[in-house]
Amino acid sequence: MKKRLALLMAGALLAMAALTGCTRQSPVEATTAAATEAEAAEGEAAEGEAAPVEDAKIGFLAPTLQTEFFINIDSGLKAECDARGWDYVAVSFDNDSATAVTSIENMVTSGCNVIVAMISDSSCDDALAAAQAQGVKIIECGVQTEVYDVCLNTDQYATGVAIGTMAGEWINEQLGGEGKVVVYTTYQNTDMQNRGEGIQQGIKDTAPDAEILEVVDIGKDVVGMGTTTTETMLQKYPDLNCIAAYGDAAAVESNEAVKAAGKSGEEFGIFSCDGTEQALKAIADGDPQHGTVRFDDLGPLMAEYAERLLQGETFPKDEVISTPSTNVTAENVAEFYTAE
Amino acid sequence: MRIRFNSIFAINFIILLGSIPLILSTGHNGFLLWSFRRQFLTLAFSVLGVSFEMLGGMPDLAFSAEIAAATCIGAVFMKNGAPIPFALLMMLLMLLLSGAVKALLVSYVRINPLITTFALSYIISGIGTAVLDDGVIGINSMRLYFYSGVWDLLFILFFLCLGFSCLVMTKTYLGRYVRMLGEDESVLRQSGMSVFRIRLLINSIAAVFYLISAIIYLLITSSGSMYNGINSTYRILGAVFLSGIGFMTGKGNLLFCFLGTSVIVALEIIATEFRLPYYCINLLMGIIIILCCMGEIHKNRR
Repeated sequence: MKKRLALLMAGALLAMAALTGCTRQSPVEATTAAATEAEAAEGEAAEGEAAPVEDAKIGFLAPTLQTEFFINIDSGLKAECDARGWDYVAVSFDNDSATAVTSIENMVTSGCNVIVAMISDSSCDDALAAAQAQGVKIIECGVQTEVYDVCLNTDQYATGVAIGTMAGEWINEQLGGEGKVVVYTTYQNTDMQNRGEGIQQGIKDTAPDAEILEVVDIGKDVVGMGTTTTETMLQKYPDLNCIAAYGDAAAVESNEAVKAAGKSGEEFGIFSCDGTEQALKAIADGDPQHGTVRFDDLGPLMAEYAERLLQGETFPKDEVISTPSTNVTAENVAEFYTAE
Repeated sequence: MRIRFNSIFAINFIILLGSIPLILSTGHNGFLLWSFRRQFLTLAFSVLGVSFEMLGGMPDLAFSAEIAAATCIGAVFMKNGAPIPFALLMMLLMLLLSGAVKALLVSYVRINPLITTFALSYIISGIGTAVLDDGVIGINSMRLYFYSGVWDLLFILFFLCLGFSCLVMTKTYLGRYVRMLGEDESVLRQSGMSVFRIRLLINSIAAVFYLISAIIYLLITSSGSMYNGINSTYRILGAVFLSGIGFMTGKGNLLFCFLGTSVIVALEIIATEFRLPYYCINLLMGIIIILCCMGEIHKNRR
């Protein structure tokens, strides 16, 4: 009896799914008209004064929420949303594009008006296009694909050159130009590849006598890889005296591994990007980490552009909003970090 | 708290019936139902494959890596201009080969299936990463199909596969041998049956389901990557246990794969709607798996 009841209910659910899920029209076709009407209404509103947006829901899609860089963005954006009285949801897709697609769809169905997507490549473009068709605004940050309403990005190659230049200048000053360098990069997306290439070029331009021993792919924001890789590199290259990393997550771990190996800040240099609290502290403390490229707080920037999008403002397709950055070394770290 | 095996189905229905009004209240109903079906299909074929293997006494922890590797192989071939059917054939061959290796190691070498598949998942991940110099290979040829009627076809295909699997399990000798294998492998060996051949058949059928899963990942991401679907491992295992498939007992009904998968998809949608932290789903999957296993043990003791 119970088995029959279970089978009956399963069949009922099956029939319900068959009737409701099998649509002839794709969600893009079915709702494009609605999205067009919404855009027209927003355009009319934009012609007048831009009223503050009071009721909105922002979705933040991050590759990970386990590293300080993304945690800071999440916290900053959440604070901005709270200040504006907006709802906020953050999801980590852990570098899995399929999870990112699902998360984007779930954000749309949960009523997000703006999705801030820090994706890695164009694999989510179809899902983002579907979200746009539902009237959701898309802010891409950190990568530029084909689908977005506004793109916040940095010239990754130039950022890499800045990291490499800081490393090269330190090698010239401290080591007389005789640097033995390992570069940490990742090939998981084009932007990070560009940053890695920029690092190498920056070192070659600034310290031409320095030797790049190896370029290592340590993955994207994988916790623990910096420590493991640095310990391996220190064993493999006993005369290693400089690491240039694409991100502070790996650099901070490398810093600890280098200190554990008994090397001081005078004989070893680590340079990276992101400007996390841990990296700034290490610079202030005179650790082997001597420099980082710090981006201005991204949370407020994202919230600002979210509000402008919701007020009906549009941005040219090819326009990429540059995220400002500052090279932080021991000379200016006090401006950005205060010891507790 | 007493947990009855059949209470798992009651939990499934309660979650689903409770979540339907919650989910529908979010609006965007047309898109929601399309997305629900899309997410359901993304998980369902993998759930079917893992369930089939689990009924045969082989819990498979390598399926995610296998599917991701299949997407990598498919992407490499398509990127280099191979026709889609040829690329799919290569993907299937890879999955069949992996299934054969699993059957060999478990049946002949007698390595514990959990350890076998756990180690294989790392081996396959390593090989897949080595194949991809660029980390991710984008393929525009699959992008054309994202909004086509392919989802309707896949929906029908799933229920055809489900029906076929149920028929195999209930009406064929293979189904009986699968259950015997799942309940007590030694009995099957003593009867003179070739355990390796049966496992090979089971894994081959599962490989076809994994191929369809890999195709779906190629469809929705238009790329091949060793990260494709890696986060769905515990969701799929949770769906398998929620479907009432016993852990290495040969007990369970494949028909309820539909139910377990629907519950997992509903929970994901609700988690986003109610702004639950992203790790809550993993937490929930672990709890579900333990509760389902407790229910199975309790039932076997009665």
